Parts: sequence; structure tokens; C-alpha cells
Amino acid sequence: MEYFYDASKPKKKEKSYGRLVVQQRMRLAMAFLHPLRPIINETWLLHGNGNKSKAFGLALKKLMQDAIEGQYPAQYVVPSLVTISSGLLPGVDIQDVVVADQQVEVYFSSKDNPLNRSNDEVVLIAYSPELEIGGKNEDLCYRKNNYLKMELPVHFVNNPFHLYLYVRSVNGKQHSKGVYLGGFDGCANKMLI
Amino acid sequence: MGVFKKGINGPFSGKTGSIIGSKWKSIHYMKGLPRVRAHRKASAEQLVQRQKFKLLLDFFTPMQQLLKIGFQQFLNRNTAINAAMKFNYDQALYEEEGEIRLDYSKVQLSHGALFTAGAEKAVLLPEGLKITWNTKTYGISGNMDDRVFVACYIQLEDWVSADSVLREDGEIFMELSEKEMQSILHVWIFLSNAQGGQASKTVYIPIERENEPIDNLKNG
Repeated sequence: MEYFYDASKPKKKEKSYGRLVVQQRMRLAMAFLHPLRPIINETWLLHGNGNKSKAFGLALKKLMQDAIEGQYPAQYVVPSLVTISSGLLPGVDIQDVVVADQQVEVYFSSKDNPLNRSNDEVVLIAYSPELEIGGKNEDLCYRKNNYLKMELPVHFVNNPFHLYLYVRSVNGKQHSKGVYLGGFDGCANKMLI
Repeated sequence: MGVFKKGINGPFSGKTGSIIGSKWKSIHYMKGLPRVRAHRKASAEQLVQRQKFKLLLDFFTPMQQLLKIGFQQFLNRNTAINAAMKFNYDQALYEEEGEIRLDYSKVQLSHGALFTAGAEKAVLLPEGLKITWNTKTYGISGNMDDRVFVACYIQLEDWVSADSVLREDGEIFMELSEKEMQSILHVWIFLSNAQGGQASKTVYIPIERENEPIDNLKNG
């Protein structure tokens, strides 16, 4: 994003307050979501009627509406309000999240629901918007496992990151609403929020 | 300098009175003749801008081929050097004692959404430079067949040595002569996907000797 935008350069023409607010919202939302585009394209695909760019646009709109707080020029993204995935598939109940030794463990349970399948995949995303780096669990984890373990990217050893979790059907067409598991300051188990 | 779409009479090229029409990378430009007399002295601000441009241009010109890979997604309407200049102009220059200098640690040779490798290290061995990185991709952005590009700037010779391997290799060795080893070295690393459509950001790697870290910038 910074390739196209430099805050230090003076603007040629005064822009209206409303336009500046929306432009900053758009920039913030884009900067947050762009590195996660491969994930968003998949998790919002149903909303985009199979069109990836439409799916990404809808996720962007949702973020701009729900997850940006503060007044211009000090607007900011609240990671806990970002909807990384959206859909009707029932999610899981998070019991515990443990971050230690460059890995994260998530304990969860799932209530009985006719829409549930025991082989629904549980996907964990670790993401640092500051570094524009993310990772997801590469080993498959299913709803029936009630436990998920993931190795964190080496970039996160001394940097803050956020954890999100969602469930997807085995054919990849249905998704649950994304859950925010918390922000962590490095790989030691220190919660940001 | 105006850009225009095809009008009623279509684009034109050449000089028409004081207007010049030209085309570059499918963009039609309309330029006016220069109003400034050629021998007018440049103002102090102009001299600073020219110094900045010269510094960046001299630095980037030898690495054009590398920049073409690093800034590949911007090449439709830019040359690789244009893109590199645009991106580094505000980031990589600083002023010290009235002189414009290049901050090597902030130089970007690439830009894109591909994730960097992480855990990058450069160790100076008796025969050359060994650069290592993390080979894992973590499932979102990056594949094992991504190419890793390493550039090493040898300040003494004002020369850039570059090489590339696959991400899965995890390391690269750059042979250096004894003279080159005495010089101040700056190392950058970035990734590009196998199809050549995407690149990562550039990471500057501080060089370490086998046991002790070297402060590149102190000497630079």
C-alpha cells in the first residue's frame, strides 16, 4: 500500500473531511486484509458467488464497517472485530489457547448440530498485520479431534501477532464465522488484549 | 506533462507548434516545450533533488535485471528502475552533514505480497558469504519452488553480486575474493514465485562473522 501512498507528500487540493475519512478507512482495511488474500478469497467465496475479487471486496466492506474505530486522522483497525471468515457452518467452542515454544495449541469442543460433520476441518490462522506475515496450520485438524497444534512462523518470535480460527467443510465450500482467539506478544504466552 | 486517451482525431506523435506528442509503454503523452533556459543556475532545492536522483540512479543501474524481477508487477507502466526509484526515494535516503546518503538497510529491491522467508542470516566465512533462511512456507503465501534472490553490494568495488536458488535449498554460498572480503558488504534477500508474477518485500541482512556480528552501517 505504501508504494502508492506517502503521507509526507503534501496534497495538491484540499479534500472534504468525509472523503479523507473513507480513504483512510479503505487504506487501513486494505493494508490489513491484503496479505490474507488467499484465505479471504476462499472463506468469502460463497458470498462472492464464486468471484474471488467480489469475495475480497465484501470482506473489505465488512472490515470497514465493523472493525475500524477512532476518529480521523487517528482511525485504527481492531483485530478482534475482523471477520476473517463468514458462513453458516457451526463453529467450535474454544476451551483454551496455549502459546509457547514457537507453537500454539488450541483446545476446543463442538456441540451436536445437524449441520456439523465430524470431518469438518478446523483452520487456525496466525497473522501479524505489522509484519504482513501470516501462517496457517498445515497439518489437517478435524472437528472431532478437539485439539489443534500449529508451529508459528519464525517471524513471530519477538513480534506481536493475532490468532483466528474457523471451520470449513471437507469440500471447502462451507465455512463458519471466524473466531478471534487473541493477540500475543511474541511466542511467549503474553496476551496483548 | 499530460496523459491523454484517444480523442476524436486519435493520438499524435511529434512536434506541433510548442506541443510534443509521444507514446511510452502504451501511454500517450502530451508535453510542452521546456520554458527554462538551459544555462540557468539550479536552485539549492533543485540541486538536492538532482543529488538524490543521481545517487539512487547510480546505485540501481547495475542491478536492472534484478529489479525487473523484484518489481515485476509494476512493469506494465514503469521501468524497473522507475519503480525502484519511486519506492526508495522516500525511504532509503537521509541527510547527514549536508550530504545526501543512502541508508542501505532501508533499500528495497522488490515489492509484493509474497511472504518473506524469515530467520535470514548472513555469515562471513573465510572463503565467502553464507546466507541462510527458513524454508517453511506456513500455508498462506509461498511455495517451496519460489526462487530466492540474494544481492550483495561490495562497497569497495561499487559492484553488486547476485545469485538465486530455490526456497527449499535454505542456503546459498557466494564466493568472494580476499579483496572483496575486506570491503564493507551489504546483503539483501527477496523471493519471487516460480511463475514470476509475484515478489516479496526485501529483507536487509546484517552480516556476522563466524562468532561476532559486524556493524555494517557504522563503517558505511
